[in-house]
Amino acid sequence: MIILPLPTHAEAAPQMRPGAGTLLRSGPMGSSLSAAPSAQGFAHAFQGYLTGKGVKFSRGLVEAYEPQINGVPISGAIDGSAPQPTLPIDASVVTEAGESWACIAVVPNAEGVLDPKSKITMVHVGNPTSTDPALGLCAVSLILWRKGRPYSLIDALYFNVRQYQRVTMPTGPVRHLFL
Amino acid sequence: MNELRTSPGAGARTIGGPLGIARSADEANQWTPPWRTALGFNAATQKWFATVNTGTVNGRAPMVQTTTNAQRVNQGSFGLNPLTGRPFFSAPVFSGGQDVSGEELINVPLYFRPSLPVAWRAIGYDGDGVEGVPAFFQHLGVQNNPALATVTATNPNIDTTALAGSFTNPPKGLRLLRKCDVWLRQPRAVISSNVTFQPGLVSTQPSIAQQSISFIAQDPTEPLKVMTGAQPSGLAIDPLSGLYTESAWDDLTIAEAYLLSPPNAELGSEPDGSWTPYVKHSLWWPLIYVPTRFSYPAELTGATLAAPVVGSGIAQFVINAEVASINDAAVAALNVITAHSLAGRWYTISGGGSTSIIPAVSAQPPDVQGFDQAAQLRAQQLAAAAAQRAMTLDPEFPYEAVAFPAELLTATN
Repeated sequence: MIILPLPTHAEAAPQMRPGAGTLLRSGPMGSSLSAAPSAQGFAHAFQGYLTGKGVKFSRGLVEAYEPQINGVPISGAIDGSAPQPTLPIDASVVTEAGESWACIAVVPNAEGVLDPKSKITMVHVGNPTSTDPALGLCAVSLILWRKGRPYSLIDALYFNVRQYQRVTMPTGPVRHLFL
Repeated sequence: MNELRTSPGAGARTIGGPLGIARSADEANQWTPPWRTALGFNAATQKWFATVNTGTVNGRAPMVQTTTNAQRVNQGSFGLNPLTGRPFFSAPVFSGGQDVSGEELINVPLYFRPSLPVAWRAIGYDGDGVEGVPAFFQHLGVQNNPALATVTATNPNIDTTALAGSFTNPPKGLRLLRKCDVWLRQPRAVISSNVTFQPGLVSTQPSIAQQSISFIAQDPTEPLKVMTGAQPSGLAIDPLSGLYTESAWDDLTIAEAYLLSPPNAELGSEPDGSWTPYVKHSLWWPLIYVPTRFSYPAELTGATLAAPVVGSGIAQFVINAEVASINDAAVAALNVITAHSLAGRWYTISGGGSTSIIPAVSAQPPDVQGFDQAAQLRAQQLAAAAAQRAMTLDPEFPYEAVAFPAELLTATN
């Protein structure tokens, strides 16, 4: 921050110097002081963005794999052959409370873990939990709806998922663990 | 006169005042983590209230139990019904065709930013002496209850007689402290235990303890909630004291809210707008909650397992165990209760495996024996960081996460 005393006459006008993180430009029309744009948020894995047609996500990994939307990684194809995909969201799955979820959906192998052939996709659902042994769900975004339209998105996942494991219980449904 | 002309460029702003012109960078639009708790003061009601930034548990936002009147007082409105676009809970469907009473309890999702009432309790000089004053506030002029000084190893109870005269002449410049807990309450299933004794065959002492364990399903009408007030601490279990029943919920602290008085405030006074709010957070990230499932104790060899009685969400089994003494019975009963407790587990998907620190850092100072200057320097840094933490309420980013409980990976219950 630079503090200048108000000049009372030309001889007393102080010389302006740029402080830390600022840029001073001088020209015939005067001087301009600029600063780097402030941080707008915390850029994290699986950050969701509502668009007019659905939800886009920043890059995030489940173990070593990036979830896909329509066969394209959520951050777009690495070779640039496909842009960042949009997860279509459907008002028909929205709950009575006006909520829906964007989730990572994994299909584990017979051992209950992921391998390079495992299907890892993003899905839009009305219930973010799964008791199906063949389908693990992990909520990424809570989407709020009003009058049949999404109006807000709340991030429910901030980090990459280092490990997935399905645990078969002695009684009751299986347990899908994302950690 | 050739006045200096400077215009604010990108990311900068200019503020003029009687002492000159200040040019500075714009304030950052800071990201607010989940569960961030803020305190507000309503000048009309002279009451403090809290708001909690939306966090999720298994992707779902918790509820706040409140009344429409309470929300109107602090905010006027707490959002629109997402289905109708009208004010929340104003539609007749929520009241069976009648108006919802302003005092009727309703559950409002946290993402509508409802205000939470805060019930302050005194800690420190005019408190009950049970809770000590954090070092952070002692540095700001708060003192512990003088009765705490009467607690010794030989006399663990507070000597109230030693308080005589302490409150008539409080130290000059003393500041008072009030506290309110904010926590998550997850409803769950519970077990209850009832232990009865049958006469032994050899002696007159009880030698056969019959422990009846019952399972009670979770109340489906109870939602995940955010609570305020005095968070109950874990109660000691006396497994032989008749019917013991677990708490029907799991609690997890979100934050501790504090109000710090101006110096020389009147002892026992109610906080007003002149008090300074502080919040110490315990949660920063979305959570996963894994309930524990009820299972019959097939591993208890030697126990008599009665035929399970299942109905209306209640299961039951009975264990007969030969015991040599009351203490033996208590230990055996407590072991069964602990082993079959239905307390769930919390964790954060942190990408950090089982560590709760993001990224993983050494929490313990290295061995500083010998002449390892690097180790000594590291130890000094850790000591300085620990001292810094004692002087602040919240840690610096990156924040800690709730560690993953590794026992979840084993298929037990």
